[in-house]
Amino acid sequence: MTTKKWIRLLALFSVFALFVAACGGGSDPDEDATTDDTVSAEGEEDEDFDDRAAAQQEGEDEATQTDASDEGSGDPVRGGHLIISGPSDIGNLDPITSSSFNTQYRIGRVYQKLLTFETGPEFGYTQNSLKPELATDWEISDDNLTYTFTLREGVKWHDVAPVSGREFTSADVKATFDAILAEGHQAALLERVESVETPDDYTVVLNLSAPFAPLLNNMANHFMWILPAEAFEEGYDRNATFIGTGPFMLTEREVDVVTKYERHPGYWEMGVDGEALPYLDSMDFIVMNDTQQVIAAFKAGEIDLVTNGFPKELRTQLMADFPEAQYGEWIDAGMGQVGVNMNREPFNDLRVRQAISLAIDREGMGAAIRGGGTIPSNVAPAQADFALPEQERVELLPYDPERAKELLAEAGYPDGFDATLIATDRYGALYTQQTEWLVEDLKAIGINVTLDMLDYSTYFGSRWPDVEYDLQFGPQTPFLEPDEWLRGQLQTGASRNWYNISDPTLDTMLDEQLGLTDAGERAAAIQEIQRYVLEEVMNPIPVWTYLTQWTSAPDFQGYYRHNAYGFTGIEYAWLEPES
Amino acid sequence: MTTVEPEADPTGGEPKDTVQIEEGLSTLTPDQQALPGSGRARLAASMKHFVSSQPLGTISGMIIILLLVASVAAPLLATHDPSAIGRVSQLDAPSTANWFGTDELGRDIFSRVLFGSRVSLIVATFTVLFSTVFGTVFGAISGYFGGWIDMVTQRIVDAVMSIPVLILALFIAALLGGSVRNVVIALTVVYTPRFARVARGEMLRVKNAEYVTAAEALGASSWRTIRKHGIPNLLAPIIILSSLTFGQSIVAEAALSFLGVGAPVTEPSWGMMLSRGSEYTRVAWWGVVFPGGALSLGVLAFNLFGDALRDHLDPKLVR
Repeated sequence: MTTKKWIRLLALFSVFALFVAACGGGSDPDEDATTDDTVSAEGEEDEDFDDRAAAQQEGEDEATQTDASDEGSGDPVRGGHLIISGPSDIGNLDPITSSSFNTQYRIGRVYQKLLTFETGPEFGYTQNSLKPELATDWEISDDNLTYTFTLREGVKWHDVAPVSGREFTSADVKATFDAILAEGHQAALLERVESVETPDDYTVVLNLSAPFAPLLNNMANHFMWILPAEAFEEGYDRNATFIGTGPFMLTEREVDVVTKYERHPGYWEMGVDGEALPYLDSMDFIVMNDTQQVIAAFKAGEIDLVTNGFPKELRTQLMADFPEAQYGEWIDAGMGQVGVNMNREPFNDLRVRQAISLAIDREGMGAAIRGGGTIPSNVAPAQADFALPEQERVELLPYDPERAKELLAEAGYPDGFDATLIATDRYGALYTQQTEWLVEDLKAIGINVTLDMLDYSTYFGSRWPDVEYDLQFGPQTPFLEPDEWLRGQLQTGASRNWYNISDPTLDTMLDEQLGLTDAGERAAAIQEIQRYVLEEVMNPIPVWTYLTQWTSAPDFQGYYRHNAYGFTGIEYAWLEPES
Repeated sequence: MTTVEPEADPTGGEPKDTVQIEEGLSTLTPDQQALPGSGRARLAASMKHFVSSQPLGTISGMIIILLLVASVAAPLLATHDPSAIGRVSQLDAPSTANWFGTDELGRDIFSRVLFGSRVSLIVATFTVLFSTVFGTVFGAISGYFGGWIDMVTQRIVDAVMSIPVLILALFIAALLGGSVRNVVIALTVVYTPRFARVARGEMLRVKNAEYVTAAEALGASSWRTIRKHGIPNLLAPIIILSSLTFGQSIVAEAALSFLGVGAPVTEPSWGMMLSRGSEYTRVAWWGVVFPGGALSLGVLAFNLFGDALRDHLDPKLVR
């Protein structure tokens, strides 16, 4: 063997070493690009995401909030530049046409709503306590058909043409609501609203055709941002000009890279020091998708608030490496579900759907892949008042592959059958792992599943909504209202009934709860609906609600997370100066 | 990762032109020339010479055979079902139960590496097969006829070759969607031009050889000339290029799977295992090291074998 050959051999080895090292580094720009492209291409996407700490909920279920509140630190400090990281971005920031969580997170402190949710140490993470924002007060008529909102006076729009810092009035609310009713993706949140009236500059009246229990809650929904009337009359590009009343102004934006904010000097709310909020001077919301990169940047102090989620092993490692940082973990507001196409054989047979549910080792999957979480019912467990109690959920959704096989045999499939399951890898590695787990669970009872991994736009743009599948698995939007979970998905012909569910008994139950304005009565009716669905319909099949994670730097204080999209309450947060 | 410029004729050799004309008096290589007798005997002798003169190539060849055996007999050799998830624990370190440890879903990495070799070898085999056949045919026709056929073919070849291999493959695979078949299609498109280029170059030389002129003068058709005189003389460089492309196809397939446009997630492949494992490198090195090692070993074997084959078949490099 010649020297030349040895050199060649050595060179080859070093090339492979580099290759492996490159893989280890994990920096994967192509993956970013693919993800982001699909996001940008998809204006209507709005369901939950894997690596995102979207919405979190639950007063009682409050998990391990070990962040700012624990420090019990002193007074807010003014100034400071906050850097937030998130796994993805979206091209469309128009609140009327984009329902993406990415949109709401980026505009959440630029625009405001009539009502919002309380945040703070005494409020639960997923507790939906209404709080006045642009409205100061509201009144509901005895027949539940008229809602009168009194608006806050002295609120100024951002000083950006064409609105140029004028005062906020009822005309803005009417223009926004009219636009939502006419063309908004969130029109269903104003369902039964017949007309919007503005008796004076600071009063807005909503006239309903029939009682609509969720309406007040919907006013605080993270899709109900109020825009200036100019956004509609003069029709400026709502994806290029951002004029809100919120504490931060969106000053610069490069899609998929960074969105920059500066404080709104004319903001109406005062801090504890008697001066206008926010405490922070500016924020950058950067896009960083690669887990290893995010961890390295966070440890180096380049990120103050991480909204990305990490696989449990890496999180444990990070907590050991960087114990002084703040780690929060809460029950997510969404859930993963298996959708079943009831127009196809054999899925139209209840026993087959029950067998599928029995085949899923939910606890095993959740522990192995998510490192925690809970079994959901058809309303997200985060909505504790409406979801079934945990004990009942566990009883209604057991893991029993033997019983599953029996049910399949009773249904006429003792040897199982073949099926195709659609999913997408867009929701991140952990959801893909859950999908693989699910496929194995179904194989174990004889359902031979072929996994069809689709690109996101095919999955969410056609195959799922057009009900062109046997089985489907993925996260559902973390809806903030039980009605969105139930009526939206389960009623015959509903906009998100992508399962061909049609059950007259269920339809009646769904309609009845809408008119129940007594909170207790309505909650009971909603729980009854879920029992009915899990016993008689079993579609979509709830699989798992994971724990969502946010991670923040030791010096980031005064921020209490809430489930609603959009960094609710970040105007009260501050960065401790370096000591 | 390539050790050969695609444009270059790997043999750098002269046309071996007299094989067909003077039966039995082959001038293919000196050792072959010295060997009388049947083709089979010549092949055996040639192999013997290869083994004695190319130890590295021989070891590589044995590794390749091992790989083939591993992939064919994967179901027999695997200690676990490669897709069976570990319900109790995941990311276990290598042990007597799981020789290469387990992955993030508790699946046995040893069994997955074995089954992963199937995807790699299937993709590489079909890619090389198709690109060799298409490339040789197009190249031979292009070189033989010249003129506008040559012009058009070579400009297409130029166009395809001007785009970096992986970028083009990524584009095609992403366009078609992730499946083994589509990866083969993508890689075939990417690798065919280099075969066409080599085949054309050889054909240009063969075309001007006196024995071809003689054959044409005797009334042989173009088809017969290409088939009887052209193709056989192209074979040596094409075989060498094939063996090198084989290794490159394995890497390319792994790269595509790594980037998520390769084989579907339910099918274990080395590239995907690397991609998944890389997320956990800090806590579970075995998820990267074993599939990475298998990949490196496989590609290295094919590349070294290709090099050895070139030395062996090239009369100019005989020592």
